[in-house]
Amino acid sequence: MVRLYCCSRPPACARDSPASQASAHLPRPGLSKAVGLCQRRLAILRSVPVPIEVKDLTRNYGRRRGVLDLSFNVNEGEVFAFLGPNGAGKTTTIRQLMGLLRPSKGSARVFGLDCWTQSPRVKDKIGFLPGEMRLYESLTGKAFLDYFASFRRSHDPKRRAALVERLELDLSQRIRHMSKGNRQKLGIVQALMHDAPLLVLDEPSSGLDPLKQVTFLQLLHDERAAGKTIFLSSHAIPEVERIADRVGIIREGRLVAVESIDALKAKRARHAEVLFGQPVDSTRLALDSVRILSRTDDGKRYELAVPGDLRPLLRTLADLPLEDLTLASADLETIFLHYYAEEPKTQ
Amino acid sequence: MSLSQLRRSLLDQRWTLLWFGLGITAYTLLIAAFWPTAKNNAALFSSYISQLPEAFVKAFGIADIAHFEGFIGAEELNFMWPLIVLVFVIMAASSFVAGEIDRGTIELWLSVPVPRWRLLSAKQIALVIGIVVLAAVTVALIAVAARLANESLSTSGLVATGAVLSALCIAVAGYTSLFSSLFSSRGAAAGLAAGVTIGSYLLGILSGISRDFDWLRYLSITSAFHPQQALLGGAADAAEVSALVALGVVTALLSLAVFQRRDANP
Repeated sequence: MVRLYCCSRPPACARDSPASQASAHLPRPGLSKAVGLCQRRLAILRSVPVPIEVKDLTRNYGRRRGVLDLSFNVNEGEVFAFLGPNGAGKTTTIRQLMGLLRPSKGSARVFGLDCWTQSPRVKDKIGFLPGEMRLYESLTGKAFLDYFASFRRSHDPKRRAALVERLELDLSQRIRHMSKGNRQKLGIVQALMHDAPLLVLDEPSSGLDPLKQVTFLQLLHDERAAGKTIFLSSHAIPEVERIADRVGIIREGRLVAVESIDALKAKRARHAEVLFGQPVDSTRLALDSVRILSRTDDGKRYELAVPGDLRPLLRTLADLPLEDLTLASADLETIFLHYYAEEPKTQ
Repeated sequence: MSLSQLRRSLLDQRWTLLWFGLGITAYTLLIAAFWPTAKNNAALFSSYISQLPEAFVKAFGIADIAHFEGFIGAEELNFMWPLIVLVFVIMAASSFVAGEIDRGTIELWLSVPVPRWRLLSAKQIALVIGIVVLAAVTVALIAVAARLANESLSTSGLVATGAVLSALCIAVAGYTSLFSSLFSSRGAAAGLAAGVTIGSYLLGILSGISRDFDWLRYLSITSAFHPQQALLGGAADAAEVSALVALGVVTALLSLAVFQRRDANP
């Protein structure tokens, strides 16, 4: 389906579903924001269909659960992260996008093309990294990349060489002798070397050492800056926080939330542990910006969640017999754990 | 058919092909080395064969051992050659799809912008090339062995023999490819293909034992496999070769259709 947006937001008809409401274009800081807006306007001029459009996507495996009624869009130039615990349905969704599995119901479209019936044309527009890096063991890294490059017209050897250099990969080695990290790097080069407009990456940083994870995130930033759309699944919440514009949270096969990273960040809370020299009544901590998670030792020890401004709490604590205060950094993990802990909602 | 995949598949099978080719070469030369002894004791061998049960003689195609063609047929072409080469064929064809699933490479393999049927048909054609190479190597070696033994073989007989050998392998490759498209385990695909082949061979023997079982030959691919007659007569039975090739082609096309529609879940 071709979507024509006349401004940086989708039209009302496209904003009906909760997922679509959440997919409204999001502000980004500084240059990224400007680049994002330019890309969207260009997309408007070119009448480009949305990179990913998933509608009521359902996949059953007999008695086993697959995914149920997934609906979301991924917009051009956007980094969309798919989050969920193991077995939640992330890989099943990706396999349907890649035309490996036929949907039981609903549809998945990439740039307006049906992922099952028009699978080869869809794949021409995708750089894909599978979740489990099983490669052709007998090949060298070079032979492996040559093999996958031979199927594409758009292959650029210079781009490939630059990626290999950036990830410090030795292509002369046979894959069977490569470490897990090097296999992952080889997979990343394979996914990115075609310069495809959409990247579908299943757990992309798994197996990479921390330094290479930084390099990889920088690579993704560069790809986004170059106008690529990125759909990735991940367990690594800090990584998602750094790279994603929006996240979809999947639990037991259902999409329980699609939120912008900014919206999620607004919801996040710092975790605080407070130890008093003597018991303190909980009413003394009853502030708008503070939620009491637990009270122990007759009111000497409190666990608090501080979603907003810290200053009211600090001012209050200054008047109390405070002995110790531990403040954890605010992260998204608590929010995701909150979604995972809840019963799945029907959309 | 995808040329990229064809190139890759030919490269992948080159070492296996080389080792099987060397094995066939060694076996053919070994058998040919025995020919002078067999020739000098032809009457003795014929008397010995006449004492064997008819079913046994039919099972191994032992007949007319006094001639070079009969000797090569009995000792190599009728039984040992299919036994060796069909191991290669079943190993290769069973890995077409099920092997990719077993290895966990199916997601990557199918991530290329080429229709599934083109990828699989390239693998099938690479295997047919491998089969033809092995059959050609075999008939070339037989021609060399005959020349060294001062025996004369017709070129048409050698070509016809190559066609019969290739046709049997194409039939087995076709249904093994189908099993590979149907199953997610290479072992299951290879096991079923081997079972069907052995069962078919046994039905062929059974059909020759009694007239009551004659109809079973229509269920047996080995009933249409007569390389010795092709070598001796200078021509292959067109109906038999066509039937084997048709079986291979139809089952190969079915495997493309199945693979095109099936889920590819590692």
